[in-house]
Amino acid sequence: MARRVVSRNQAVSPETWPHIEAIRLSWVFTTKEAHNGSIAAEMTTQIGKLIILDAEMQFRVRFSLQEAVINAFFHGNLGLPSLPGSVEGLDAFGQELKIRLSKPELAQKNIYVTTEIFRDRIELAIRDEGEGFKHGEAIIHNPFFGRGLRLVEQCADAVAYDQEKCTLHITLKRA
Amino acid sequence: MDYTSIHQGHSLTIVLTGDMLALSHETFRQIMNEVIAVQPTECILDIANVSFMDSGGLGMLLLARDTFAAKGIALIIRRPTGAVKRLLNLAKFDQLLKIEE
Repeated sequence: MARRVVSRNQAVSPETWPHIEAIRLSWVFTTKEAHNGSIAAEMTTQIGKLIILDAEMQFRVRFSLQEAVINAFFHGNLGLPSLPGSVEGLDAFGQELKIRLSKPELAQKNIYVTTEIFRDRIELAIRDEGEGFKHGEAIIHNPFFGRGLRLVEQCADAVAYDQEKCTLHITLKRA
Repeated sequence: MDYTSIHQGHSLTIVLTGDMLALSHETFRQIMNEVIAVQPTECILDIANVSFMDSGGLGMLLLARDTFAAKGIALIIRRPTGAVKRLLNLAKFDQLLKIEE
């Protein structure tokens, strides 16, 4: 995955947990880089190298990251409108996606992801450079993005939307 | 996401591999075109080798169900496992789709 790491405590290992409060991982990548779809998987793999993620926690982390990044990608930085649930809508969506990704001012917008791993929880923050999204609007009108956020709310312990900062905050308690 | 298709009688089985994501929409559109062109009475989506799915993948399953139903094609989702099975349960898709273990 092509990305720039803006900050990372690389020397931390699980054995050092008694001496630290949290591990913080930060990523920043462009909208164009996010188009390959593998970013959430790779971030989850990196988190899994620092702490033990059982199958359920791995699912919760990856799904939360996936939905948040895809929301930042489509709805935030590319400003794509709601998608009608039709074949025609899917075709139009694909065409519009290509058009918007071809615009450097959109493709070069960043997505910022910060993960903080505490002993009892993982906190995710995903920020885009879009114009902000209205949570209710996304849920009601958008079958792709709305369902995703609803499901994140179901599998996370807390979800908060900072519309002013275009940031989605997700908290996952560790077992 | 990749796929292979197996046509037997009135049934068309699509075997999917990889991740089924919103960003897989072009491949999924190809699959839908192929199914519609073959016009089977049932389309089986074998997702045993799909390792991960996001909400876009869920949306595409519903889109396929509705599009195929309008053409008299029944959609069956077969053998979800791991994280995909977990997501289908979370989304209560067993109430929306015919899912076979």
